[in-house]
Amino acid sequence: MTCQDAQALLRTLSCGEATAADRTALAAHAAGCSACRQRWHSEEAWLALVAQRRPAPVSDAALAQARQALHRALAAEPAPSVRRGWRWPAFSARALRAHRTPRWSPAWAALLLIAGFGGGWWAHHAPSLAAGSPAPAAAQVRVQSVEPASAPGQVRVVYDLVRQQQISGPATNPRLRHLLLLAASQPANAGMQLESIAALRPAASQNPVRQTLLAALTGDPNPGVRLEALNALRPLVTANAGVRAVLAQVVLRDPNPGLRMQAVAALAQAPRADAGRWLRRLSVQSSDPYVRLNCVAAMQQLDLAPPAAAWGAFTAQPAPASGIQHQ
Amino acid sequence: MDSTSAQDTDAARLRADTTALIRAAQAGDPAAFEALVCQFDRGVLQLARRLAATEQDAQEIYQETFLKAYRALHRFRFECAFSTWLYRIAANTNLDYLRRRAVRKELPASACGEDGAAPLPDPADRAPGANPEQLLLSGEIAARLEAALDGLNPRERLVFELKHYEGMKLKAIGDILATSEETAKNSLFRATRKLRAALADLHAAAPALASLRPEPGTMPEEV
Ligand SMILES: [Zn+2]
Repeated sequence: MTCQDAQALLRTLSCGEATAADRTALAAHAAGCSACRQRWHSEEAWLALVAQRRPAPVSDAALAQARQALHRALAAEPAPSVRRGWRWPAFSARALRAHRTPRWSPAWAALLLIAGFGGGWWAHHAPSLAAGSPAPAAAQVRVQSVEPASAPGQVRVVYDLVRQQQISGPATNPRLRHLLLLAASQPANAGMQLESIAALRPAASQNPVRQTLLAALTGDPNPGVRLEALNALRPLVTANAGVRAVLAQVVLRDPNPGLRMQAVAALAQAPRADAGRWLRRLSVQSSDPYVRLNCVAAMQQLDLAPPAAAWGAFTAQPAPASGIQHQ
Repeated sequence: MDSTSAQDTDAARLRADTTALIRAAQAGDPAAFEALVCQFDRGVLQLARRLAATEQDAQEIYQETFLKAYRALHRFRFECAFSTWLYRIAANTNLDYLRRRAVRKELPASACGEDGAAPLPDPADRAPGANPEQLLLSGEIAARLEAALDGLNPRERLVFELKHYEGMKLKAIGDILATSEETAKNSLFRATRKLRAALADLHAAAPALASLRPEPGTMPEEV
């Protein structure tokens, strides 16, 4: 290899596109050429410097937040252009809120999900239906308005045409899974959320399911839904430090006292050292004396000494609640 | 079946699933669009977070990217990979953001409408398990690097990010930017030259840096 060839390889290296074979060839040349060796080392040092910048990977919580915001934005979007002749509205939140469903048993929820709940499966037709056309079946129609038309003696009816679909299968089916995830994050229908979370529970450790459960636990307005999400996440407490960190936030911030206690109990199931760390911190930082008491009791059950500050804290003001770190 | 052919089969299945989802979304199925979003959005958010000044900006870039994709989906004709098409939208959205920011940076800070959005946490805060001295040093280096990256023009910045932090091939970067591999390479060289000049002092002391290269698996567990 000539020095010129080595230069070309160094440029490839600088572009981050050198193969193992390129590096071997460079090393062989550099062993006998001090000028190229120096350039090579300089190039490798540069790449090492570039690698010093490594932002943390996107957290599930940040992704869940982005998805929820997008979901809301899409609901406000007009229907997109559609390649086939007919139009659908995007994520019709209004339609979803209007929709009421009977409560299902969890087993039934796992087997059958009416797709109409999932994402606004409404045909937002404003078709000019000639009066002579056959009328759609009553169950498919929701009348929105009735008003006099411009010509005397005529009337105009604006209606939504409901197109309900259904899909059956195991909750592991990706399409059903996706619909269940959507249904679990629709605060308009708590009963449906509970059934969906129950159906998703066996898959709680999987990424999109975990994200949805964490989002429900920290953001759903209904405490029952938050509790169901907490229970579904409970088996992950031993292995997943992220789940423990979110539970600690629940202990500090959830407005529902029962849920705060449940989160303390769940944290106590963590590996002993970790449980001790969280309980110690929460026993001082929580503004809720019952939470602090519960933390101390849980620590005693684990044979861990509570911090001295916790004893005095049951009646006094808590330590400032800032500075809790994700572990 | 060996692992390579198993991977090939998985890849083929994923492609088939993606194609079916795109067709369903184009026909107006919103759940299919959301399923598509879930397939690609982590990368889109990651890129935005690398380029944006604040988490809030990153979230806005993410949202704008997918809203544009949603509005333009009917124009997708399967002439390139869906990921390329989507990343092209993401790249343009990020470029627009960087251009706007470049303009704002020329205004005095008081005119920028500082909204108090929290800056992204320092990466050095987020690598538990590393030696504290190394963290301090690498945190300082990362901050210098960040400042130097801010000095690049938007296109150079984007190419550098896609190459060194997203690990994309120059050919793919060229596709995303609707240009040639050669042009992408030139942007990368210009970016590298500027950065090396800005960081010359660090680079002179750099041989020791090789020992600071991140070990795989030292990143914090995802929440
Ligand atoms: Zn040489």
